[in-house]
Amino acid sequence: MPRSPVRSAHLTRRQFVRGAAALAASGFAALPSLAHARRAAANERLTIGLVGVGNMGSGHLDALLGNPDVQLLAVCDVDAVKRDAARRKAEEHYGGATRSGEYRAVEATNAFEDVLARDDIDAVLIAVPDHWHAIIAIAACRAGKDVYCEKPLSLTIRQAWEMVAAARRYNSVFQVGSQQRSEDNFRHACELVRSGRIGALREVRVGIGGPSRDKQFAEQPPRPGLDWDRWLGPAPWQPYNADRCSGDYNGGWRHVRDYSGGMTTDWGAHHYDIAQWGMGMDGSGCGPIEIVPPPEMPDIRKNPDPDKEPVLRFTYPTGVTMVHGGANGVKFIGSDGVIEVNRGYLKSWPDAIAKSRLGPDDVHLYRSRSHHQDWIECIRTRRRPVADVEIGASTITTCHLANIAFWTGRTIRWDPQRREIIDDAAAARWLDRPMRAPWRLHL
Amino acid sequence: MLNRVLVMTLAAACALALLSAGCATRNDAGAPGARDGEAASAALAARLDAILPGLAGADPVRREQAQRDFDDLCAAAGDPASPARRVALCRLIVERLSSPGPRGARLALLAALTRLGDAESVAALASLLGDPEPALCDAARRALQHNPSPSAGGALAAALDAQPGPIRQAALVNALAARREAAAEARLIALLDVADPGLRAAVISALGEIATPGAESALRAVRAVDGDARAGAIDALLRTAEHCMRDGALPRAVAIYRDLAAEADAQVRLAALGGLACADAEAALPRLVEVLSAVDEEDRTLLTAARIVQDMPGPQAGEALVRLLERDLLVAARVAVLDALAQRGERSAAAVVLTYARADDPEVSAAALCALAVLGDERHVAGLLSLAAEGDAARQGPLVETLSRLRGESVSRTLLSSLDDRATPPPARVVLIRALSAREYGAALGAFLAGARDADEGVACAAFEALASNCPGDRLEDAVDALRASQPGARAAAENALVAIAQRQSGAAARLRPLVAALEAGGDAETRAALVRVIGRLGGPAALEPLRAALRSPDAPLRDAAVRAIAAWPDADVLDDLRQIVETSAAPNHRALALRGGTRLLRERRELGEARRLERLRHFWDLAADDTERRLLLSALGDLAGADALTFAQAAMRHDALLNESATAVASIARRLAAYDAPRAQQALAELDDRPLSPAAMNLVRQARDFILRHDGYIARWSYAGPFTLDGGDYAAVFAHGFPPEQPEAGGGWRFVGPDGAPAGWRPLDAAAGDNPWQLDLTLIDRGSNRCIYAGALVWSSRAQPARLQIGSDDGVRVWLNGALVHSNPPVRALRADEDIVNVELEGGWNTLLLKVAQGSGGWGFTCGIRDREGRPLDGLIFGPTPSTDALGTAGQATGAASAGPE
Repeated sequence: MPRSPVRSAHLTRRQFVRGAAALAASGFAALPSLAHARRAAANERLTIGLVGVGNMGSGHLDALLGNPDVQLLAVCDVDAVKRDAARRKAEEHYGGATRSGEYRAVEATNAFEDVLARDDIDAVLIAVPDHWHAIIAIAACRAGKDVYCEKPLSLTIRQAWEMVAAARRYNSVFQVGSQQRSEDNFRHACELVRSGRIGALREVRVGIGGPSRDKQFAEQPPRPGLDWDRWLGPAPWQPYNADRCSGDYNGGWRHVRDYSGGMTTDWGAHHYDIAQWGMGMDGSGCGPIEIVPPPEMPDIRKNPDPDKEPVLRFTYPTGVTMVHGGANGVKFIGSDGVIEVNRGYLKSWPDAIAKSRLGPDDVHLYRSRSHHQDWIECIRTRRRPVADVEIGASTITTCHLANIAFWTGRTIRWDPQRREIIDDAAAARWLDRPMRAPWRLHL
Repeated sequence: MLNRVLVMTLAAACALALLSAGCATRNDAGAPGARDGEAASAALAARLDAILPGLAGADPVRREQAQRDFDDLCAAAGDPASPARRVALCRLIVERLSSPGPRGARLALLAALTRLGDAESVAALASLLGDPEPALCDAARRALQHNPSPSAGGALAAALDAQPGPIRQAALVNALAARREAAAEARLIALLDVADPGLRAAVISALGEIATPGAESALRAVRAVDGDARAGAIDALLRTAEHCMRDGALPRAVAIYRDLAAEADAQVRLAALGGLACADAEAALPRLVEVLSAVDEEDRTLLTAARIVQDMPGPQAGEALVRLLERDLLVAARVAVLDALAQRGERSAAAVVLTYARADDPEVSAAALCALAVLGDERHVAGLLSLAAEGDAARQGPLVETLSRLRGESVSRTLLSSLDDRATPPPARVVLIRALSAREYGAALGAFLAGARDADEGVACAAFEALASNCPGDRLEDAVDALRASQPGARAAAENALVAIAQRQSGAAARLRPLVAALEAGGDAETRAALVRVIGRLGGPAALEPLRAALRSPDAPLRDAAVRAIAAWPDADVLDDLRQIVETSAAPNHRALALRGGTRLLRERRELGEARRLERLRHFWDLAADDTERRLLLSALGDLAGADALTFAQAAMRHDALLNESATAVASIARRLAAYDAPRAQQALAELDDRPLSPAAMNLVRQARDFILRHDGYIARWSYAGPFTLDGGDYAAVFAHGFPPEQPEAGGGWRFVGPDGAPAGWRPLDAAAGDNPWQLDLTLIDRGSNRCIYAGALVWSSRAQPARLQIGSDDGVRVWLNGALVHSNPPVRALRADEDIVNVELEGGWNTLLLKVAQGSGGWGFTCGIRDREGRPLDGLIFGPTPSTDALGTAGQATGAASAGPE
């Protein structure tokens, strides 16, 4: 039975005394953040609980341990081997602080409720499979924690907007892990597009793979140390299989519909996010109004070529079309040019567009130099971060709509204001999924 | 593959034909066009019954195909154009559920009803709520939860009384909550008295979703009692209020928020105030102002309150924020209010905000300037400049930032006009130059060039910095003239500018010509030395001639600049020059610079090769004047890996003063040499045991010994072929595809031929990752994605014996031993040594080991060791010499569908 989380106590004035300075500093990209001027004193560091220490979580673990502004106090994972390894790593890292008297033990627990119940933890970083995101994030907001939640934000559209509601209800600073928004290439590409450098935007091509499906696996004896029932959590019961819960990108849970939306959401949370940022179509009330699938469902890993085969197409209220496939990352096609952007890559046709600089009268988008650090600074200033939960919800809605179109094989008409699928009751059932007992959205 | 079937015949024979064809279709028109509804239903039943055995089967591959067929069937049934088909399929599913069957199939059927079921499914689902199998019972519950029929809610509520135990009851409660079943209000409230805390929590949560007036009253009663449930009740009340707002019951929402705004807990108060701000802004605003005006609030509360006001629509919120500024606020509150005004875009507040730019508190001042960057325009330039004229260094950065961001073409003209005004004091001129530079105002170039000649050092430096960012390459001569006319204190900035401007010129000649011309034109020595430094920083073969000429200059500053430039040179072209400086220079600091430069190059430029690096190092050694210089050279010696380098380091140990540095070099070389000549390396380390080394040196020796032991049995010498890619193929396809090195060949072994008989190319793999020769970094060979490389090695075993391979790879790996596939592991992963353990049988004599290492993206590499079955070193193994291309076939590229990557 899920436990009810307890709200944490507030941070002291001392812990926020640097917040105002950080607020002033954070408005200017050119000014150094005061947060980096020195290692924060113990009582000024943000205390964090890390929920999920698998593939992504272990990367976050390293980043958190290397950040002088934070102190990791707890790690949580349903796999005892992973969580104990994470705790050891954290304690070895902090062991050096023993002499200074600042060392604090790192708790390792199977249950996220334990992390949320701690008054001394300010924020949580959630890096568990998608089907768990909503429950933990909503509980964290209610417990008074600020939240960093890995992408894809949610398993369903309704879950995403419930997370937004919870964050707004409790004024949580909620960063979604769409970290491309903190990479210069992507921001610059979107600024160029929105500043009209390619003329009128006509089409956006997004190079990602396809949807997840129901998958079947042979039953195996559960791995020692893994709490299989809790790994499943709100997902329908299935017998254990190592591949079912593997974090391997080549297979694993990301390809299984009960836990994730496949590459449509896994990479769509990155590239559809950038596409909508460049379109100026990110946020509540924005989004496509029609999604037309191809006749056949694409393979999960395939980046289809729209010039050679039928692909899924979104239509936006502005008339812009977004297309699944045909890009190295995201390709913006305008009346006067093209911009294509991906990690470590920005190209334009003609060349001069990518090299052009922006003046004060051009569109300047939120500049974040580091996705983690942006979140931490916003916790101090209480501003909304660069990939605020509402933006994440807008992005994942688009991803889920694509999947609904793929899975039903029908054109989906969507009302972005009311967040409803129009005239297709069966498709609308995909807006949410009932959770396996005892789990529910609001614990 | 799925095909779209547009028409389906009505006859049973057609249905049988479909079954026998085994094809499932998406959106096939089962009903539309059918002349006989019964026949269509029969066909649907036949399809379903053909699928069901597969859903229940033990073979996961067959189950998955059956699931796909079933998904397609359900997708077609959900088509709103054919409601009858949905009903028909659900009825068929209900019929199948009425009989016992395998759990897997029943769960699949229930999942389908979750997506499709309506009134026709309710009774059957309700009957399953009492199923003893928890998975089935809960699947039925979920199907009812998601069922749009009102009768589904009734069935769930009715089942509450019948369900044994709080766990199943809680599941039903959750379902009623998700449906917002108002009719279940009384039943739920009755459960508030249960003892089970989990069930009670579920009921409280559910009441917050149902949000009826009765539910609200019940929640208020729970909240009134202190205890564990209170927090849940408050959360439920907040959600109730939100439902009320959506449902049009605004007064109830307002009442809830007002009530909760009196809570002691700041988080709850703020949540309530935030809600009230949406429900009744007029009521919320004064309360928020009160919070912001408090003198004893936590900073987080102040900042959050400001954000709530910031988000409130309508002009009143902005006006309230402006009025707040007039109050005596805590610093955090004032900063938050200023930021909120900026975030709201309250341009009308700009003049007020500007007054706070002069605040004594630096946080407030900075916040005001930050806000003004968003809110201000040309009307505020004068005020900002007067602030700049005060010369407060702490404000300079924020002022520049603000002025650089003010919108409007006229702002740039106004700034330039102020800069051209000689009455503008220097501190303000610095700010103006920097702001105009950030604005990239092309018309300001002349002003920058003039400013570079300014008598005020700060102005001159700022002007050169602006030129560095904005001056086009074809104005390099003007910039050189500016350097010649500049103050000494601005020289460093001038040099930086010249480098940046010159780099905008295409072609080395165009970059260097104005600089060399100015150098040859004469002038004071310091200016010419600056030009030498600029030429040195630009680099390139064409720059060496003027630098070498400057080495011979009678002017000391030029010689010094030339020595420094050559000592910092990036490539080995200057090694002879450096040697000559060491040999002939009378200036001790020039000797030191040249020696350091030479040492650095010998360390960095591995492409020179081991022999040449050692030879050059000997040259410097022969010129070394003292032990300090020799120690420097020994540190570079440690980067080599050959036996000759080891001998050299051992010889240096004869000098007592160099003992520790020599020993360190020996240890460092031995670490690498052990991959190719382990006995030699181990002998060298053993000879250090009796030497009186420092603790640090002893530690390094010990680490080297441990490192070598740890890698006993690991293979460092490989040959490789590739990389190979597939046209349009992704990682999975590359991993699965059999490229030519995998093709079996008569006689075994790992020589292979390409598909057209031409030998493929194998090369020695020179890709040691840093100082670990047993870890191969394949990104040193190729940096592409979705490809693979094959690495081969020869292993001699004194006898046939069991062994194990210890492999780490990034990403997936396949392994063949003596032509037989012994291991295949495809995951995309980081390299962790020994992650894969593979038991094998070595043959007596030579064994061929072939690895295929696939690459997704990012890191790419592998390690491979051979140990006994318990992980201990094996006796009697010899790793063969790196096979040359002559041994394996002449060099060439694999041809055919698979294409090798670039060499």
